[in-house]
Amino acid sequence: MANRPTPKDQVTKRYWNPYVAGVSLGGVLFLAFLLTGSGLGASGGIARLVVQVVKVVAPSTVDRNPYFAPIGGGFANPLNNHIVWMVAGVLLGGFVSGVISGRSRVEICRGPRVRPAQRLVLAFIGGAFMGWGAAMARGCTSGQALSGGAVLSLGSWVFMMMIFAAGYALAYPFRRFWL
Amino acid sequence: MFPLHVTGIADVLVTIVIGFWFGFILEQAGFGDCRNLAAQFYLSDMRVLKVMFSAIVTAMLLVFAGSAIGWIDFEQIFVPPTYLAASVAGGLALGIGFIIGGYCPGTSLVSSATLKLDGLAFLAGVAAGIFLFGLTSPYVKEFWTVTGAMGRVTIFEWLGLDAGPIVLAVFLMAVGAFAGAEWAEKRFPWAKPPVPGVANSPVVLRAFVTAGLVLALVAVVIGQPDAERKIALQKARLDAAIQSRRVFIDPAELLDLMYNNQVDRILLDVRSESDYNLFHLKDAIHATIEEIDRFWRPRLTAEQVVVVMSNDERDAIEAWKHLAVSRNINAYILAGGVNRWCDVYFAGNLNVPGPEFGSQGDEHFRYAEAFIKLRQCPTGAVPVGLNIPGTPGTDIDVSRPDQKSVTLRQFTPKIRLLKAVKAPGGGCGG
Repeated sequence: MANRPTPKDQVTKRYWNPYVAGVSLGGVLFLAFLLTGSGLGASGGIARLVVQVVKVVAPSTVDRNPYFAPIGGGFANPLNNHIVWMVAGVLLGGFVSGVISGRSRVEICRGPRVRPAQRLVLAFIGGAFMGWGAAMARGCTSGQALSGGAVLSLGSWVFMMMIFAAGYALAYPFRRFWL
Repeated sequence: MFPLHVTGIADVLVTIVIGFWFGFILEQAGFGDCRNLAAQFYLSDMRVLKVMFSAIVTAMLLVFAGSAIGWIDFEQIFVPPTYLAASVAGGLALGIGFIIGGYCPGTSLVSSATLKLDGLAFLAGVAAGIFLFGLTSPYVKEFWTVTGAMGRVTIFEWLGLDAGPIVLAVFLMAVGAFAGAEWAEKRFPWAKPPVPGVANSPVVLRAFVTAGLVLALVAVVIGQPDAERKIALQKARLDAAIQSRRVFIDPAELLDLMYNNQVDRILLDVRSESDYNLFHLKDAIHATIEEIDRFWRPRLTAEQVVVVMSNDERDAIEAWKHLAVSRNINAYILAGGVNRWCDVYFAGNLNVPGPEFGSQGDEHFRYAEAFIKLRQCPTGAVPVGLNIPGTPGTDIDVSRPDQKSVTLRQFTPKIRLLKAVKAPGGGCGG
């Protein structure tokens, strides 16, 4: 890579070493436990945004639904929770990191055999599975696997094993997506 | 003593800063690009496993070593409650979503923030999936909330062990997994990341493993503190509260509390079972120190007002310490115990001393005889089943006298409601 940071020629920096990144992330997670008593999270914030939208469109649906009601039923404001700020922080941190490393550009990341339009559809379908699963499991890879795993929650470890089990089981049939 | 449980604007700022570094590190690790994530399942680039497991192990070692030396109260750390069925179903769905979509919710946020359109599509999918779960939740409610629900349970509690050995085992397992990952990357070279990562430095790795081993050994050798050691660690604070009498409340204040339905109150009676059955305050729950440690302390929250009582004060003070080691519990002691309560509301002696005055009794229930007399069945009378009270000891007005019928008694109010802390809810479920 030519190391000349000019406006037209962005430099793509190397990724951090994964162990350094992991130990740093563990330090951030530990700080979250120290200061707030709970770990990291992502899907909880997205869920609250979803409930806010549903609440605007159809408030009675939120009030009567076993999943939506605890988040935003009645006078509760779904966005009044620190997990929403967490999501804002993650977006900001990802953005800053992408800009200073020259990785912030409009593109569609995809496997070599996948066409851009196909990739968008696949990403949406995969996201829908993830969203459904995260709501079911009361947390995603950040809130359950990472944070729950660090405090050795039994359910979180079962959850983590299941993610890897399903991923590896389907890796071969879906190999054309990525290889 | 951590955790701090920051609230209000401090909570917002802290959370944004933590979120910022969370997103920053995910991006720097290469998780803004789905190819790096999906490669995990083809064994050609194991950065997902390396980053995730080293993060889990780092936080785990720090939390449990900190808890062993008494800096962190593990009971106040949010542990996601276990729902086995939901974890299995949700985990499988996440695995399917991972291999099809290539991200997870957190990484899709980072990917969207760096303008990747597939990340945005994935994020839209996550929102759709959450909405879909909401729509179907009435039909899967039992499976979701009841099947395999175990509450807050950790692996070491489930196995009946101290945290130390499990922490060490997980650490060693992770080091083994890292060695396996390095081997796999050399063995399966088909999909290399578009941007190379910084190579491993043997010096740094050795430092990480050594530090990890030290922390794991701290957790193993010292072990997690039991209630006795927690009390010893906080002796100064607990003794100061007892000496200053600021946690002792007058019977009249307790009576006010019993009629105050604005406050979630819990009365714990730590006397012997026989004294309790003879007479206890209305809605007081019989508890032993062992039950307080095992059941009550992990469950009580800062919104609740807890009042502990014994016949005098000695046993109640002991039980109070077992609650008060958790700063998250708002616990008080009934001054003078049940004996003084009966002095006022049974014997009608309104001149008993106020809460500033302790009671030096030896935990003997002075009114036992009187209550036995009250309960005696007149000779020849057949007790009628309908008159048998639901729980023994509460069928007498003394257990919660009507405030209109007792003479008002002056007292210095001691109960202060703790500021309601953030409802525990961590991670994505929060």
